[in-house]
Amino acid sequence: MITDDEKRALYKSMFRIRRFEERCIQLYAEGFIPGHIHLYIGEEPIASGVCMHMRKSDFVFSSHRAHGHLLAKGARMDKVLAEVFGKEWGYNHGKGGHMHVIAPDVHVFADGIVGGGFGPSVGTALTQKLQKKGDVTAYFFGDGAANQGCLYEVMNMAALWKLPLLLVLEDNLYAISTPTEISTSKPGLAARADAFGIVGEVIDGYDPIRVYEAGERAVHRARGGEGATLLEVKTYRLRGHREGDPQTYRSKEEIAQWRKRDPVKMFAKELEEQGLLTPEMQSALKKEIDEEIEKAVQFSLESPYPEAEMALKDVIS
Amino acid sequence: MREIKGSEAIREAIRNEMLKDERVFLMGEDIGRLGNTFKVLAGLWEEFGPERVIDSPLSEEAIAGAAVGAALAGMRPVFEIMYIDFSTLAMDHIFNRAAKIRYISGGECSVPLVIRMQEGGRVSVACQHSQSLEALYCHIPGLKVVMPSTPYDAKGLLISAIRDDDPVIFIEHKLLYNRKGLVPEKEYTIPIGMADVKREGKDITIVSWSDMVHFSLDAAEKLEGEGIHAEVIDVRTLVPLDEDTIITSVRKTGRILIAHEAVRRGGYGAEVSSIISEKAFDYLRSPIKIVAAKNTPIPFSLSRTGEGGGYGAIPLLSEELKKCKDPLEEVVLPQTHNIVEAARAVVEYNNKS
Repeated sequence: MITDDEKRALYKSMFRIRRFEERCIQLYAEGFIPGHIHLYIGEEPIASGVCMHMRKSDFVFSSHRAHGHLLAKGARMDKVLAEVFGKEWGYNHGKGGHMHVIAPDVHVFADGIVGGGFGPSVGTALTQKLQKKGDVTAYFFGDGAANQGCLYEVMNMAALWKLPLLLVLEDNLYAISTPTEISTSKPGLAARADAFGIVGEVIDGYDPIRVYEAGERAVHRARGGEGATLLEVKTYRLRGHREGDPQTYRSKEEIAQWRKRDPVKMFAKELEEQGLLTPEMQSALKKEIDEEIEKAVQFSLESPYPEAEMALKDVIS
Repeated sequence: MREIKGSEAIREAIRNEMLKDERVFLMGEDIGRLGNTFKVLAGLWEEFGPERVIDSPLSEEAIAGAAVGAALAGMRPVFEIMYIDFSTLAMDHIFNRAAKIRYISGGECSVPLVIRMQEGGRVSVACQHSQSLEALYCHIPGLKVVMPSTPYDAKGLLISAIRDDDPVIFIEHKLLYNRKGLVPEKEYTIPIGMADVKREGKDITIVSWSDMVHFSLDAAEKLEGEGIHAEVIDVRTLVPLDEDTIITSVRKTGRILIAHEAVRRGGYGAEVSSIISEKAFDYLRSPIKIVAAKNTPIPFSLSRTGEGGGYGAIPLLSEELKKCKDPLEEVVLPQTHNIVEAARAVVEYNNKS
């Protein structure tokens, strides 16, 4: 059972990701951020609900939509933002960028290739099993990646070797423009997991507590040596595939319907109704988070761009 | 003749062939309803329907294999890989089947397949969306490799590629989509394996392809101001390579510079260089130089050269980004001034001796 404190912590984690990305929207529109930017808005319960059960030494692999996983896993916000800015003080000296933030201190690896984390997540989970420290790996991937053949090779290995692995499918209904109904033959990846002998669960990703509890069960199983879990989390991205996406592939009405269920707002309401979050607490929380964000913005602005020599460094050891 | 964008020229070529030949169909990710992420194929799904413009799952390996199978069964698939960086997922079928089946079947079977891929940097999308990987495909016997630089060439070469009986890797630079050029409305073909002299000159030959042709032409313009008359050859197809046009030019100028966006090491420039030294050594008046990307992955931070080409409405340039003194992506990728300096060095070498 989730405690009241855990509920508040879960909300804080989600709200923090949300505020961070709302600031990113602004910064991107103002031209501070080069390249593309893919936002996690609407999907926060997943990263927060799962990563709250993880510890620093656990591994997380993520996709091009990685801000949520980075922040929820404990990566430094200022170093994430500076990286997204392409600055020297960013996690990767500006060489990784928005799609490829690697936060070695908390073992988070974002990846711009869809499905790129399947293989590596088996490798870290295998290592963790051999090391017997009880560490686990989670890979967060989308419904697009769920049709990459490597997933099926990986489910086989994870089951065969009883790996401490969480395969977390963030099914936001669209792979860029392609809806799951034309990309996926029979809905329900959890059922496919079952075919491999992996525990599969289907969870409403707009219900943070359900995600939190499922994350807890899966991490517990992995740490306890009981093997891998596939969490099929139903969600929706409330922004486009990337900022600037005209979203011609879905209707305004559809987006509006989902906006009504905005999980961050709805969860705040739920906590208010339960007396766990007062307007005062909410505004104090907002102030605290916004201060952290503004510090991160300041840090990113103050950071120099990398020197030319950085382009040639670290290609090989 | 009207002026249209590279993306429109490509679409015209595909539409032309789809109207003419029922065997031609398209497969790829986000190509139908979206019309491809760069809108290159806009309208084709509506016109030809979902059976001929197939939105595929994100399963590059299976789609590549399916394209090989469809080609074997008599179709002419045009299969798109959104970024050449993702083609690594499909390589088994491209390298081990598409490229091999004609050979091992003793010419009995062919794989008339076009794989359109998009590559190149200069828009700050970092290491997994900016690579120039043509050399990998040039290395595999059995594949043809086509890399147009202009809308005109793109249309004529793509029609040829679709009609070709061999697997053709058709590589489009992401900046080509927004480049404009004169393109006839009617159909025409450009033979695969024929280079184009994009500018004539007598002092030095610059051999280039894809987007670097435009940098080479800019460089030639600047060199003209210094009294150096550069000839610019756009090879247009890397495999087969039009060696004759290159050698003829070497005989005239005696000086060679090769410019490509891919990394220097193992790049196709080295192959062109070796062909020239084997076949035209006696005509060379100075060592061959290659201008290419540095041997590093493409860093995220930062490129201003593309200014968001093909990437839509978001402003890439702000006062903040202008502060950047040495944008890393620009440091890594070859620029016009690199070509100018290298060309000057080649010419001066000769003047010294």
